[in-house]
Amino acid sequence: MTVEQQTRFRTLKDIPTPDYMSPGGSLCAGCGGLLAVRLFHKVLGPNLVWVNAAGCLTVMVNYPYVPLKSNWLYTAFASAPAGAQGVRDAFDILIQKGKIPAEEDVKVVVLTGDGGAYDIGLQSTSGAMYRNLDFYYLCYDNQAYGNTGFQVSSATPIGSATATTPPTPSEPGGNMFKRKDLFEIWRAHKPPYIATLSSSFAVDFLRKVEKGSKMKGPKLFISLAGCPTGWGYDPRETIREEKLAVDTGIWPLKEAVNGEVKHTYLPRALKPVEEYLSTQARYEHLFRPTKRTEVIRMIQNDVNNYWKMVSKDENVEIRLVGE
Amino acid sequence: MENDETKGAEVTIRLGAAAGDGIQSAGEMMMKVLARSGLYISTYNGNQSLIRGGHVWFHIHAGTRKVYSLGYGIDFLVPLTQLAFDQHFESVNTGGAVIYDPSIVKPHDLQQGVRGIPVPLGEIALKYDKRPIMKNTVALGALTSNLGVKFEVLADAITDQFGRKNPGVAESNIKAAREGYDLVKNLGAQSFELKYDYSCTKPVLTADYAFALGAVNAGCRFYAAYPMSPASPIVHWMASHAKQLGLTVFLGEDEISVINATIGASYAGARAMCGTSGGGFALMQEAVGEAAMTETPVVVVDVMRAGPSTGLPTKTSQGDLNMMLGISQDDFPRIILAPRDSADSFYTAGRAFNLAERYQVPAIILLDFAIGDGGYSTVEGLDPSFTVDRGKVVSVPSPGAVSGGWFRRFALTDDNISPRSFPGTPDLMFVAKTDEHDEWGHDLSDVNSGLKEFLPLRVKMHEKRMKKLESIKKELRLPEIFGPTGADITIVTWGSSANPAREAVQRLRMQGVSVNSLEFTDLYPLNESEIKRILQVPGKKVALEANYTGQFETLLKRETGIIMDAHIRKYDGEPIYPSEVEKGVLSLRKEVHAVV
Ligand code: SF4
Repeated sequence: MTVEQQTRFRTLKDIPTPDYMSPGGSLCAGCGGLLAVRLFHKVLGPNLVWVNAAGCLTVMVNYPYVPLKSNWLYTAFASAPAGAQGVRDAFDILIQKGKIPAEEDVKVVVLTGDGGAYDIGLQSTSGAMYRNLDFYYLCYDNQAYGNTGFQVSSATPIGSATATTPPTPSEPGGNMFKRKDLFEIWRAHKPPYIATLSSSFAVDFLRKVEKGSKMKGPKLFISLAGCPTGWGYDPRETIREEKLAVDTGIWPLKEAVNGEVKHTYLPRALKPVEEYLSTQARYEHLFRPTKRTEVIRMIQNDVNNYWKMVSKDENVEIRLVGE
Repeated sequence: MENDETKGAEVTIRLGAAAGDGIQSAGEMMMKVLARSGLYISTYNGNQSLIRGGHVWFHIHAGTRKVYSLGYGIDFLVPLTQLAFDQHFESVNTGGAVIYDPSIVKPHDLQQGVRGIPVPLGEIALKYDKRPIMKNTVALGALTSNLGVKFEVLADAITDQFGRKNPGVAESNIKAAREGYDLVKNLGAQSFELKYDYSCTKPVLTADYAFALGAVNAGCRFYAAYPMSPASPIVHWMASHAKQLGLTVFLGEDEISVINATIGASYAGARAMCGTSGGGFALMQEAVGEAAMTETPVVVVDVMRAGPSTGLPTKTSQGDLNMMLGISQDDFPRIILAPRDSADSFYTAGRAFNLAERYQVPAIILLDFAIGDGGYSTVEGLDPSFTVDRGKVVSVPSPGAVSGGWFRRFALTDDNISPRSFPGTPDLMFVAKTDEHDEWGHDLSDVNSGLKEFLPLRVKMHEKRMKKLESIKKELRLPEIFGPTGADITIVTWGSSANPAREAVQRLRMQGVSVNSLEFTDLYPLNESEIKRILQVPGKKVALEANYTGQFETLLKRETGIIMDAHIRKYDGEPIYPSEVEKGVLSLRKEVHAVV
């Protein structure tokens, strides 16, 4: 029987009802990061320790509005995976000594934003993967430092305006660096499981976390995190924005099992990136006062090139935009 | 100084709401209104580390004479939530007023002599938008009317705020504000009138923007940072003006990268600086030692917030001084400066660069949240004239300075400062070694370490670096006295604690208390003999600072042997209020009299 056949999650109706995050937290309305954490928690159940480094979701744990029903350890910014190492090791010792029953299956989950995952904490993650630490990593990727006022991170896409890459007369395109390919950086370490996620494809999301949970060793996830505050769209539209990111091919949904990559959602025809970019204030300067066609085209080309490779590797046909 | 002590007309205003209600921008608009009416300003941003909800406030102290900190109490409270009312109503002064929306705020327990001015803020705001987001502009209208400032000044400030982006938004905000203004006017509720001078705008800046401006004015060409509150306004400003200023802004993946890039830029010849807050500085420490060992000048600004660890991200403190005194391992020279306010920050940036380059040492600047993010103060007549002094930079070798293709970069000299060259200068190649090294930069750490012929050299190199402190301390500024000399009580302050002390001194002197304050801005190295002389006053000395252990008081004692008679220390994250200083001084005064 394949893993797919064993899944508990077939339709949206299978999303588990128990929620381990209570409502009423102090994050922005419509935060995609929070949505990802909720879904993630639903799959793994209540027995887990979050090991968190500074970010928006840190602000969530805000007395008296603490929405969690699980444990939380806050580490220095650069070292959440190292903190997770200590927690996991201690649990293993306690299990060995019979002080906590193995059946309790306490899970250790590193939770950081993209700043923590792509920038300051990358070294620590690399070390944890190298040591084959049995842990989960959930990166909610809102593509900038949201908590401190939306500054550029190495996950910020080309063309995005941030507080530190504002479009100016001499630099009208916003951020001009390409985002790091964290999926591939992680994959180079050959952990058993890596996946990209989006709450807008909830069944895919849940299945991947479930699949990862059946493996021992590092299991790492990057979830797109629609960010109404930083990206500049109506908080109601988070799911629509994230879905557009997937449908335009900007956010591929994929996994790597023991290093082998497979896309879990293959759009037959990509939507033009413009449809996505034009809905967000962080890209407004690409459309107004004058349309910056060269930047938009550059973004579209990157997407096209990516999917060309995918269609070759996975032997599928995908209709690209403008080709 | 005497003029400063005659009480002029002044007003204190506090706007309170939930995060996300736009209270900071409303506060800044009100501040502009008053500054453009010719008043002196000092503000504080009572922020919370929150994205939404909670309680945030913005405080403005304005006056026809100079104002320095938050002032005394609140003359006008504008609470947009019940929580904001509950938190602040007890501080409203007699004769003051609370402007509130009766459908949102129940003004229970108002003290006698405090007027409640009900204005249907939400209802008016709803006329102009589906959601009542403009209620803060309506409140500004009411407030402006109450203060007797003409409406046009507010309308201009609103246009500035929204106009460029969206003239339609500005227009409806102005209409909403107008309703608030007229409503109060018709009530005849105007309660306050200061002397306004609409022809004389008083410019305001926060200390971090002033610092950034000062740095650029002093030739800063490289700025590096990693996101950390409350230091981020500096990098935002630098990034949005980088091209126009000929500045390179480097955004690293962490603070280790940030300071190393800064050292690299300085080594290669640029005036380079980086900025962070305490937690980020903790990561930079090893590299500050590296800058000192390689004698590479570098300027680092730390906008302090309350710790330890992430502490109170949006609250203030003066708790990082000990870290700066003990950065990294073993002894090395460093300069620590702490400007008092925005104007000071502007000039300090330039001084820091010149000192760092002249002595080839790290210079650390301590700002804090109280005067940084949201802490505006009036800066009149900033003088941009500045002479860049890059110290002993050489481009042609002097006799004996070169041998075998190597430059005697770390030469032992009379003044302990070695000539410096930049990479690419013909014949002046050198190795900037973090291990102990000889005059040529060749290391003393490996095959030579511990050999008896090299021991004296290690001693000389170490002493050469350390002895720079002797020259530096003669160049640093001595503390300044605020108020007349020869008082019964002297409040000893450093950095931003000077501001509440000034207001307390003014107020106390009006009550006939003989008090002044002594303001330190240059904290390390201290010129012991001069400071001893200055502090040899007959009166009592009380140290004022915002940390638990009295970090500066301890430094003073360590360096000069001077012991304070008392101290006032605050570490709840809130700024020091003049009333707290006053209370502390008065209790000490009782003691003084008891002794007499
Ligand atoms: S800034 Fe963005 S990522 Fe952060 S809490 Fe708000 S919506 Fe979520």
